[in-house]
Order: sequence, then C-alpha cells, then structure tokens
Amino acid sequence: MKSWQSSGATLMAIGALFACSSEGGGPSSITIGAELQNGPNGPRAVCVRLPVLLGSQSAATTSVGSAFDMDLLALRHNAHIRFPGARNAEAAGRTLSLGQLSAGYAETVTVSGSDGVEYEVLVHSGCSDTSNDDP
Amino acid sequence: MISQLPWTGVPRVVLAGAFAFAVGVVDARPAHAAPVSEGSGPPARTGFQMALRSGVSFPMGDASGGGSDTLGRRYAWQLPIAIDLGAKVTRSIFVGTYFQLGFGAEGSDREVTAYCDDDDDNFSNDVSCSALTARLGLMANYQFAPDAAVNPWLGYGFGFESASQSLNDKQHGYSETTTASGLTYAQLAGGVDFRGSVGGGPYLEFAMGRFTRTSTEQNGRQVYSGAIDDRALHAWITLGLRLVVRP
Repeated sequence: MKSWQSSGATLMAIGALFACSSEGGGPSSITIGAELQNGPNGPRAVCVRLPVLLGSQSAATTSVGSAFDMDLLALRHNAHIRFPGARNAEAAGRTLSLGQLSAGYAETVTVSGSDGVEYEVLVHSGCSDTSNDDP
Repeated sequence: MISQLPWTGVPRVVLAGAFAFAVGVVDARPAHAAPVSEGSGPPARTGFQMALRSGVSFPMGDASGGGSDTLGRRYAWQLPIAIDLGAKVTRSIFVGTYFQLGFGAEGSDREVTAYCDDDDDNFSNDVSCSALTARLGLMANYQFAPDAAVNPWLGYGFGFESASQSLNDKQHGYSETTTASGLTYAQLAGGVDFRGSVGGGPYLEFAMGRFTRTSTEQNGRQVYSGAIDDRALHAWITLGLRLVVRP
C-alpha cells in the first residue's frame, strides 16, 4: 500500500513539474545590416546576426568600389559598424547595443568616399543575414 | 608579467620547467638509493607502453581576458577519454604522445543555459547544447618504482588544445558553434599505478593553457575567424583512472 502511495506521489510530482514548466524559447535573432542607398558602385549590403554563445563573434565586410568599406562586427550584447576609407566625421564608427537593435534601429549615414562621392548608407536592425554581398 | 618567447607566446618559466623536468627525471634517484620495493611486482619493462585514461575534468581560469569570460561559464565539467602512446625509453622514463577528447555540456552562463535548458512540455529537446574539447601533444613521465607492484609516477606534457561549444535550435533552424584553440603549456600529472599483467590506478592532472584563436559558425557557415587579442590563462583539473598496457 505504501509503495502505491509513494508511486502515486512521485507521478503527481512529475506531473506538477511538467504543468509548471514554461514554453522554451530559442535564441532571439537580432541582426544588424548596412545597405548602400546610392552611388556609382551599385547596391551593396552587408548583414550579420548577433551571436548567442559566450565568446562568439560574427563579422562581415563589403567594399564599395575603392571608395570605402562597410565593416560589421557583432558580439552577444552589441555590434560595431565602421566605414574604413571614409573621409567625413559623420561616418566614424558606431557601437550599437543589443537593446537598441532589438527595439528597432535605423539610421542613414552619409559617407564621403575616397573617390570624392557622397554615399548614403542605411544602418538598420532586422536585415536578412543571407543578404551579404561578400559573405 | 610573465616573459614570453616572442615567436611562440610560451612563457619562459614554462619552458624552463619543462627542461628542468626533462633533465631531472633522467637522474632523479641517487645511484646509491635502493629501488622502491624492488622485485615485488612484474619486472620493469622498456619499449612500447600505452595508457587509457578517463575521469572527470573541471574548468578553471579564464577563456579570454574579456570581462567575466571564465572557462566555467563556457564549458561545464567534462568526461575526458585519453590515450597515451609511447615507449619506456628507460625503466623509469616514458615518453610519448597524448590525445584526449572531453565531452560535456554548456557552462554556467545564464543566457546560454536559459536557451539550452529544455523547460517546455513537448517532450522534445528543442535547443540542444554541447561542448567538446580536444588536446594533443607530447608527454613524458617518470615512474618511481618501475618494478614494484605499486608504482607512483609524475608526468609533464605540452601541446595544442581546442574547445568548442555548440547550440542547435531545431525549432527555429539556428545553430551556432564557437571554437577556441591554443596551446597547453603544462599538463602536469601524477598518480599511482598498481602493476600486474596490466597496470592502472588513480591520477590527478592539471592542464594549463591559453587560447590564441577563435572562430564562430552560424548555421554551418563560418562568420568569424581570428586571433584573440585579450588572452588569459585557464586550466582543466582532472581526477581519474588510467589503465596501462605493458606497465
């Protein structure tokens, strides 16, 4: 009798455990991208997904002709974007936090390329990380 | 500040220790000293010797110098399986190679464990996580009583190591693997073998190293590979048993 009672109690405890469990959620898919909006070098885009694991990094880069590059580096909690080759201060590097990106981020940056042309680059969250021009 | 050889990044003190060990074990026992328990076990052998090791390994130290990136936050304790292959070049000295794989789970990092813990009620492990380490190198050990039934030993090894942590989210079709690799500067070990037709016994190992490179894959595509700028020392402490063929 005691063994029945103890088995029943064990089953109830297991049932309660499952009843109390919550739906598991996978890693959030936060991305950051940079898209060239104009200029003679054609459409260019680069996009990375913020990684999940401690120590992970995700990077991508693309060149806009010989005018400048668009470099992205994503860590778990922030992402860095740089425009090597740019001549203007507005195109200095930026660091965006996970909070900024998950809330939705969009900024158009004017980049003065080394070819003397002014380019518009849209920096934004929510890009598709399969859209890289230079994977 | 630990001085390093410029081309290897290996601290000079580690190399000095390795050299001292190599020299010391050649003639560690005075010529007039009586062998320990001589004749109480099988005769001491020279030539081929092999050992299989397993136990439990615990992480220590930092994976990198970045904030609180400790080894224990990346990797949980592990179950290692190792093989030592080499030869007894004298009755007391073994030299050879070691190869070890360690299997475990994700570390104590809260964000990662929150993803990896299967806390839903669909009886399916939706997000699986794992960690795998590998070490490969050269080693030597000195056996204090090579012809006794009870044979204590001390060993030193050095080589390469890598450690990977993986996350696979089947529901959302996302996988991520990060691998760090570097050098094992000092794999210090000691134990006691009980010798018969085969030998074996408990051992304790302290393997200190430093990661120098890292890479990340997302959905099977490498998205980062590069050197680690902010390096740090870490170690694995292993308590286990080994089985020795031709002890």
